[in-house]
Amino acid sequence: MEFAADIKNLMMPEIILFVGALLLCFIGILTDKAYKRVFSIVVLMLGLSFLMCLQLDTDTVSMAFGGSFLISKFTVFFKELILAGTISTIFLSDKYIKQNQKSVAEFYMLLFVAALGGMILVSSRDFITMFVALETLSISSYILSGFIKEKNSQEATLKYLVTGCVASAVILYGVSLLYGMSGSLRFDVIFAAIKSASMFNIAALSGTLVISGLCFKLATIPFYNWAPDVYEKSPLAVSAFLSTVSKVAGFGIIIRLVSELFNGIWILYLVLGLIALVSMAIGNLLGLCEENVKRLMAYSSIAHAGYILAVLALGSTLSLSSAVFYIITYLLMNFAAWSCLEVLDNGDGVTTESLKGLAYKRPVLAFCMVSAFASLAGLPIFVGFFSKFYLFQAIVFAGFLLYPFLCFVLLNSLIALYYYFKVIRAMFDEQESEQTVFWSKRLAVVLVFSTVMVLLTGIFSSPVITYSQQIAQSQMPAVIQYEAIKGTYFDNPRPISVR
Amino acid sequence: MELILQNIWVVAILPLFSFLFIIIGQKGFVHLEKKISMYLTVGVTFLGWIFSVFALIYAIQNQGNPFQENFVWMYSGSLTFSMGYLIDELSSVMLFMVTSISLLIQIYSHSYMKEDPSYHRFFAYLSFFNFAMIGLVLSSNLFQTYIFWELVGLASYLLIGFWYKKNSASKAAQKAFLVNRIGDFGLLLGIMGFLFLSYNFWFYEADVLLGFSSLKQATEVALVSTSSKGFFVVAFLMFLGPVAKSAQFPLHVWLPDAMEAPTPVSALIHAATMVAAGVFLTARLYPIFILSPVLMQLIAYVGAITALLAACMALVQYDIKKALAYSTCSQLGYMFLALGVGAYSAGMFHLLIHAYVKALLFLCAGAVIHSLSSQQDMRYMGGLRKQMPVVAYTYLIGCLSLSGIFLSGFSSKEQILSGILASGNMFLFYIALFTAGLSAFYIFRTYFMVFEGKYKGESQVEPVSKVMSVPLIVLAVPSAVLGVLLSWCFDDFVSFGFHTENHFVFLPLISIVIALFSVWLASIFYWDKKKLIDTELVKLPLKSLHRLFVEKFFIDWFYDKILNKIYAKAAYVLSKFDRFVVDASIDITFQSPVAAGKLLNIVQHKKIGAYILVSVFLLVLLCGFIMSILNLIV
Repeated sequence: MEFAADIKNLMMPEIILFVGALLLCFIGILTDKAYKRVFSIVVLMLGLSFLMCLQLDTDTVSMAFGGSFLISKFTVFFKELILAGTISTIFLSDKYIKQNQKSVAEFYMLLFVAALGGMILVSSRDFITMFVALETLSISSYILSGFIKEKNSQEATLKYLVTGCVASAVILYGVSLLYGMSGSLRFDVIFAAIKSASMFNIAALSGTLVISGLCFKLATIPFYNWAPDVYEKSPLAVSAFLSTVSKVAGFGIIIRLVSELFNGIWILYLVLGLIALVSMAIGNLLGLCEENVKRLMAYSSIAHAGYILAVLALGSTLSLSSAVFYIITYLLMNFAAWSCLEVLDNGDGVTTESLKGLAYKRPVLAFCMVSAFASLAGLPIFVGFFSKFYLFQAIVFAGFLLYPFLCFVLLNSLIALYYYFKVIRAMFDEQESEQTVFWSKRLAVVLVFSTVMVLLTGIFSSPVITYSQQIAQSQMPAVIQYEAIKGTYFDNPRPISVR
Repeated sequence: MELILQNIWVVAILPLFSFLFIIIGQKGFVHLEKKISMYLTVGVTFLGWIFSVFALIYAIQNQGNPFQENFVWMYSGSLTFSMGYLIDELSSVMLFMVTSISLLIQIYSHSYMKEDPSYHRFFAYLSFFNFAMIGLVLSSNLFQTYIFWELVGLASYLLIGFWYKKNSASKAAQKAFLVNRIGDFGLLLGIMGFLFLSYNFWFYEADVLLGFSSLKQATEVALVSTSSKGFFVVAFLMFLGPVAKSAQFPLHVWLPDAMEAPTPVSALIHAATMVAAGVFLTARLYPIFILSPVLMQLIAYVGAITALLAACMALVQYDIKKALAYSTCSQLGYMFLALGVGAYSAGMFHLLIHAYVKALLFLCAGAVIHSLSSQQDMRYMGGLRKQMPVVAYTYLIGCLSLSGIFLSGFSSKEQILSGILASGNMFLFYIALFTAGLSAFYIFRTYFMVFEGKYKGESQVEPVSKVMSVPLIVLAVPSAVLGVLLSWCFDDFVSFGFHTENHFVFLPLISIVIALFSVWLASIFYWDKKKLIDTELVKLPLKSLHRLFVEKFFIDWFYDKILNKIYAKAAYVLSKFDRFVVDASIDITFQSPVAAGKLLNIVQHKKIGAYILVSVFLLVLLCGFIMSILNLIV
């Protein structure tokens, strides 16, 4: 009975997605041309799931299935982000669906399953659940990225798959170390074992392995190089999905691991910092000589993941709140940028060459594009400015020892300015190139909504930052409740040697 | 009532939306139908006017008990910047004035700009200006004020350069912007300096950073934390903002050039509202300024000098708009003079009256210019009273009011003069009295040249449309009677804790006699003269004085020839430095990231094995690094 009650009370959003996926599967078997009706079902299901998320009681932390599934303010917030991202992806994919009306229901079903995986991933509280959810997300992403049956696309998918397998193996290796050490797969048991048996070294190593493996989801080092190929060759909506929803899920689980399981292992913050610095450097440097805008978006997403990890590496409430703010805004800006690209994409990809003269021909679209890219670059009145602002502020408040770190991040956002403006400059080129533009109403909904949000939150960011502070604070007590070891890294940026 | 006050921000936001609506749709959905722009803009302003009436009623009922609401705009470390609105006596009066004049001028503009191809753009800019100006008036703290201060500057820049294809217009817009930059920069420095001095107060005691309602306590903290000289510097920097915005000496040079804008804009922005914002801000910052006696003296003298110089320059202008522009300068100087000697409510009263009067005069001038097909030179006008009686009589009301003969202007000028007299500075008093005479002279000079005598122009005189004459008649009412109605109560309503009493019974008599004498003098020189008296004047001993006035006291010449030359030299050297040192170093630095990017790119298009290799290599490096650090520690 407890099992059923858990499902009824705590897992309704996931259950709705699951039922929806089954339903879509069924529709897919029955008919192949259900494009119009399926869309409304899909949006209805996702909206229902979102509503269910909203009505979950998040004031208290509750667990299901003997403590392997966690519902807290933090996890529910990430679920809402994932659902919002999925809904946007569905709207964004409208053009692709319209043009190739094949396997529509399957496409939606895979998106559902991927979202389901992401939602369980951020809620998981033991390694079995985490791994299964991760693979659910990953495998449906592989299939989605190979949805176009072309040689290039298949090649990219294969690269994605193989890299993903390596990443999974790395995660499993880390998990097996932890299991061998503590004899359990539950986060809280492992945490207690680390604390009591003082197995700092082994925990640090396995933590490094698990986090590096999860970095595959974020497309940061060491598993970053699949991103450009996959983003370029997949259907654009899938690229948008991978660069937003999949990343959000990855961030959710990494934050939870670092703050709940590996709390007190300060060296992991060093790992996060290193991954962040190298990723943003690599992303930005690779972006410098890229002409294809879709690949550019991949590099930019690598760099942005680096920024978020950089601020997570500080491990204070302030830094977590700025990271959460950054994740929200990153979602907005990325959807703005991807939907512009989707409008412009005519199958051959979008290059800086093909963007020439867009500002004179289609000023409104160009305006959306400028606001998206300027926001990604971090210029004011757009929201990207505030996300960078709070990020730098978190680093500044972490103490002057981190000023070199700050300089490095600043330098990186300076370099990034160049390639974002390469795109913007191309649009104002006098020579005009041929552009075929395809609008659909649903696509326009995403485009307008995300652009308006980018502008609006760029001017009034305080509600969003207040909200992200609440989220961050709700996660921080969860950290503290494990009774901080002396010298925990939280709210104390100076590493103290731990025995 | 509460509901309206709580939602008064709508008044500021709606014009922004109508601006966006028109500017986005000007090539699309509002392109064909001109009236959409007009109705939208006018409707929004009318709504604002209704709100402002309620705000005014609230302020009258709850004196000394301002209504304000704030919300957090941005966190920056320990500072929390707020946005909000404050409705007190000052802001409610300003809000009423701005919305009512704006409404009338927008109706007038519909007729004035009918033929213009950029009709929609004009109304979009007017909406934008409304947004900025109302935001400025309603702001509850200095930080927000600064934002809107810059926005009105932008609106002014856009509207001065409205006909941007005309070289003189775009140059005038640039000049206005650059001169205002000096003031804005000073204001920003001043605000930062003030925040620095009074930081402890804002951090520990106040809820709204730099809020106006707690400015007084903050000033006391600031005064304790520094010497009086330091405090003077901060207050002086803040005062630079009003000096530039209100076109006071020595930064007054932009206002006459700003007359390149369409006439409704001159009436709205460069006569009634925006230029008065400087006076408004000075009144807002009065708690700060009044604690620095040196600065108060400075304000008074700046005002007096501007009043006198601008009045002199107005004497010799032939362009009707420029004459009125110099008159605006001079009257604003009057207000600063009043504020400087402590006649706070007199200054604000004059601001209110002058806004209506000057808007009326400019609109009349606009009507004349419009019917003479863009002729602005008064030497080619004359005798227009018969063709356009409405314009002529309303203009006459404006002239009488401005020169202080019985109508509105009489009471406000009276209060200023008695305020100066109460302060005991006789030198300033004589300047003010003399300037009052000059202003009566120059304004009636324009009246006689335009409306009396014989017509000297060549172009056909077209009749004035009804849409244009209605705002004139409406504006003539407050210009005539507002001062008389309010003279007994305004002093109590908008005040700064103390009153100025009229100690000298014959003052009204003296000022009226002086004004009437000046009008008589003007009528001798300019009423129905075939040959212009100015040319005869030149032969007289006044020749050098005349030259001085015509050359604008050589202030523009000084800026153009001397300052500009020094500046251009410095800019040349710096540009060379920029080109050969800064740019070159960046070019060199830029090469290395690009090279690094190319190096990294080698692996990016390779086979899958390379990908895995790189990943595993990085992973091993990471783990090795971690292990070595752990070894160091343990």
